[in-house]
Amino acid sequence: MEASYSIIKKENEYRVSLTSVNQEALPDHIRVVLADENIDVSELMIERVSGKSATGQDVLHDITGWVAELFFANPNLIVYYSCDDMTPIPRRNKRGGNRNMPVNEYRSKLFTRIFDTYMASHQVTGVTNTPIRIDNYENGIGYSLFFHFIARNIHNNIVEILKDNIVEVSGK
Amino acid sequence: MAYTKETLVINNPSEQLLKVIEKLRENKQAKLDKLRNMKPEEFSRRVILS
Repeated sequence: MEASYSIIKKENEYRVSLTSVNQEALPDHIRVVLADENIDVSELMIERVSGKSATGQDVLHDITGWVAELFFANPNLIVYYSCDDMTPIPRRNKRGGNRNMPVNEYRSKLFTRIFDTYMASHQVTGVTNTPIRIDNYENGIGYSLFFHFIARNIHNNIVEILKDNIVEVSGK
Repeated sequence: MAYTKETLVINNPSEQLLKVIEKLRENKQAKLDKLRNMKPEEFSRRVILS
């Protein structure tokens, strides 16, 4: 998969892409499974390149629609999303439990909320979001990483293999 | 209906897993740099909302 999308609203420009994951980072047995089943694991990236306004529902709706369109047009696609912890979120909601939440955790929760809302409003079935959180802390100091896989239920076996490998590599 | 599975939580990841993640992050950074530097005509789709 190699697709890119630019959306501009006033001074805000967002750039989105879906590109195949470089499989060199993956273990051999995973690469074999992906090749055998002709699975394309593509990474979703969303980057704001200008503007500091809060991101509107219309922008999120448009981006979601673009990703969904590509997903449903490509029957062997699994979407992988790693939540960015490098760039801030301008004017994000900081009420209640969100106040001290790291930006990548906030993005993970937002991603799940948008996914669930899209699925319910479009009455889509047979597609699942699998979130993964990796906690790397020592004596209370460290960080968490957040990842998601979006896959058709018929590809749950592939997602399970990816999950099992993460657990296995982590020595659990 | 549940569309999102329960989060898989991994505590204290191994060095090996962190290396894989680091490799994926390097790849992501390279892709992000490319995305930032793309010319408008290179995008598959462009939308301007009013």
